[in-house]
Amino acid sequence: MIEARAFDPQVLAWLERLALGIQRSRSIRVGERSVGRIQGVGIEPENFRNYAPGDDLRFLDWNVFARLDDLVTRTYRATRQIEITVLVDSSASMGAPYEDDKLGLALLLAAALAYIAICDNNSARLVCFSRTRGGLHVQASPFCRRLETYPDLRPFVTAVRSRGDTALDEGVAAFLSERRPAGLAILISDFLVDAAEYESALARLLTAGFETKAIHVMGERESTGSFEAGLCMLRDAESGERRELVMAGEAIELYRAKVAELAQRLAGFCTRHAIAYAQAFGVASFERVMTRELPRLGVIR
Amino acid sequence: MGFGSPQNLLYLAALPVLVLIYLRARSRRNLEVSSLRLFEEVLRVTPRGRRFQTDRLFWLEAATLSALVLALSGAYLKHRTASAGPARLDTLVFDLGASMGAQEGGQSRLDRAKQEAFQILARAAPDDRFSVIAYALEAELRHAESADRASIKASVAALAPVAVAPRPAALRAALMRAGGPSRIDLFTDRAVPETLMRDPVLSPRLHVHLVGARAENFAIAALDPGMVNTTPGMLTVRNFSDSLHTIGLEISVPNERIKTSATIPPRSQAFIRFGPLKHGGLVHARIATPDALAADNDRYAYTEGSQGRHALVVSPSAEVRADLSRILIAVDPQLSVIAVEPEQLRAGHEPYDLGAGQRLALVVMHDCYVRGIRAGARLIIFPSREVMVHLPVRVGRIVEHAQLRVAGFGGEDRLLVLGRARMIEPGPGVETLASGAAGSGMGTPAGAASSAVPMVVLGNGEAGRFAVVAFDVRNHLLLDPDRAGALIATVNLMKRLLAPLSLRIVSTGSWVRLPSAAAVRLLRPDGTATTLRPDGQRMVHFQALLAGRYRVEKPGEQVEVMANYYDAAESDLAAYPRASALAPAGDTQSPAFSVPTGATSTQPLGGLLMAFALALFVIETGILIARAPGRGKPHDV
Repeated sequence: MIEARAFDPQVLAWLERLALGIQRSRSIRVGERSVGRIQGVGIEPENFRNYAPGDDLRFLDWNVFARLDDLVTRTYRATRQIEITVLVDSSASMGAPYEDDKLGLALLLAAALAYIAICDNNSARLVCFSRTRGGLHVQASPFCRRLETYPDLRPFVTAVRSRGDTALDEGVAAFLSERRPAGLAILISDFLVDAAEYESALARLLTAGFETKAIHVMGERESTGSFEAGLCMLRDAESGERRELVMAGEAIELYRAKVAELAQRLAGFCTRHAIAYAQAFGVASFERVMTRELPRLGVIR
Repeated sequence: MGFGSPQNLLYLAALPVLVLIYLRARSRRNLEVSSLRLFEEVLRVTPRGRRFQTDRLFWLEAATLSALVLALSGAYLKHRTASAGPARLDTLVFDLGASMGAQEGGQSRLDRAKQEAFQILARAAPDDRFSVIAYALEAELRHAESADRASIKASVAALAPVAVAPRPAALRAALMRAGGPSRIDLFTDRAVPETLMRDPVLSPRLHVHLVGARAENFAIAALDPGMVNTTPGMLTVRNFSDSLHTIGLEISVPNERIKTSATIPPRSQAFIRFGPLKHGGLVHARIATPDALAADNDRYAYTEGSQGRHALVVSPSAEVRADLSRILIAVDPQLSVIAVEPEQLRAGHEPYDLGAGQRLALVVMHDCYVRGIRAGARLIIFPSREVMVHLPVRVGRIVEHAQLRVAGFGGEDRLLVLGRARMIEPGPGVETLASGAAGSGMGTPAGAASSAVPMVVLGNGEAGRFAVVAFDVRNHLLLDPDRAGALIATVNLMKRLLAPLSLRIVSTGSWVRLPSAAAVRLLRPDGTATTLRPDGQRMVHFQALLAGRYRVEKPGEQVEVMANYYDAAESDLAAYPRASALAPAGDTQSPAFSVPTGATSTQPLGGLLMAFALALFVIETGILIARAPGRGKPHDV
């Protein structure tokens, strides 16, 4: 599956050069990229160093001065991390058409974004959700804060299966019910639900103070309508409803127009609400999406 | 409805292929999609359940294909038109050939055929009508169409086999006479020729009932009695069975009987020598061992018993005298032949001395006639006009290119050009044995002769039996190998003249003509008797269809006619046809009547079907044009 690429060393090395475009995270320095530890207000001691003029005397270690007669300043780990949550729609529609591997692409994107976030000393986790007969089914990975723990995501990523109905609003509501500090929420879905549902979900995230980004995932065949011409028996992956039609000529054009309409409506909503919206149509578009589409929209800097 | 070439119906196998092509074209793929909302617009314009819609093009193509196949199969319709007669008609055709008389289990093959026919009669409806036709040498209607079941049964029961081989032409004639719409039940013991079985008109109506099985049979193929006290005789016997047999034989002449036997390998023949006979007369050879067919177990021949017979040859031509003398000695080696010129006899000189009260057995006169010769028979060749004075034969002009009708290959007569001849015209009581033509061209076909001119005649005159040969035999005509027909006619004539008057030996199937001014009684070998009345030429005639002894009783005279029968094909009862050779072989259990009587006509449907297919093709083309892009409705969505 394509999501396994998220743990490919070459891909990870490539991802390390990217950074999330987070507007409110790091507080002390302004720079293209934060590297290393930055002194800041925090409660977790990090190191000692000799006093230099101008240092905040509040952090002078008086016990050391008393014993050694040296001025030593205590440094602390700055509390500048933000929580990044990648919400992945794992409904059955993400697994159809099977050849497109939409869920694989969504998980690859989610893991890649999480890795970039971890590289920036942020904590990241993945949350997959769908609605099954037993109710809302939510799978959440633990937060990863260090690169050493990133491989721990692999079992979670590879275990996700597409099933159930799409439940964007319900899943987001469940996520927000944890009352975690507002951070960055990236919603990855095919958004094949009523517009009201995904609009409600995105609005919930915004209301909760999350910096929200939406990645619209579709398969290669699904987005281009490259179905084999002829009589087809269509089966809805979620509802199971079957319909027969002849896939040829004008039908393809009508289909493509419908896809464009749905994407345009979603993009319009995101634009109106300052939500970064990106399209990832097709597995082959992964590199292009990561290096061009997401930076263009500010998802990645 | 029927089919002239039903094998072409195999092309209907293309119909399932068309269906498969259609189904494949309409086969659907299952496609799982993320959401049908992406197809909302498409589904809105696609009707539900499209798969079960019928496609007009498919039905048009199927109909076109079916019409073409039916046309190719020669489909036709049978019409029953109004019939004046009853509902059904069956013609019972019987083979009366010699082999139908073969005995198997106490009854003959013909008896078995009769039993099958009786079963058919018993199963028939009361208003069904039957006719009976029998054939051997000729086809003969034995009973006209009738619903009288008793009369039909009596007609069938009266059928009897004859000692001749059935002619294929007679079978064809019988089936033609059976014609019309009737069902034909043919009872025979031989395979019907393929040409008849494959006849498209005949075969549907023809039901062949093969009777008989393989049987062992022996036959006397030939009998040469030899010469009394001089040369032994020779009997040719064939064993037609598939096993070795020792066959008992009896050869008898008056006052003498020889019994012998011969062991003959399977399906071969043996030559059995006997004699020389001590007495002359009618020689009768007989197979004493019982076998299936009796008709070929007897054979008759005649050998002259008296010694010292003389024949006189008179001709102005020395070469003719020599030729005729040689031929006479060849016919009867015991003859003493004297050859003289006519002038010698006219001068009163008799160059022979037969003794007191004796007379010549035969005198042969060529291009002359000498009165006063005491002879038992006279043969006049190329007669002079003086003959008319003494014999009931008129002699006319000389023709230069006379032709003799002889039997040719394949059973068709041909005319043999002989040369000069004197036209003759037989008087009352004179039998014409051979005829010809007085044409002047070479190679004239027999059918082109304007009339049959008598060339060889035989009769009885006041001075005894006589025969007249019209053509001249100079230039060694009788020894010319290209004119063997003339020699055969002359030899047969000499045999007839040298044979006793009261005895005739013929082959079965041949016509026997005897001079008689009054009605005669004929007693056949089977014991039946009939009366023969003379025709305008004062001749009585009958056809010897049974093997054995016929007796013709004339007032104050009695003539015996011995009929010999042998036919290798008919005597071979082991050559029973295999079942596979019988195409629509008769099924005695099948419904007796499947073909209605009355006029049934067949109407070929080929043209109509082709026109129908063409019309469908045009319609299909029109639909395709209407569906073409840019015209009509969008394609299949």
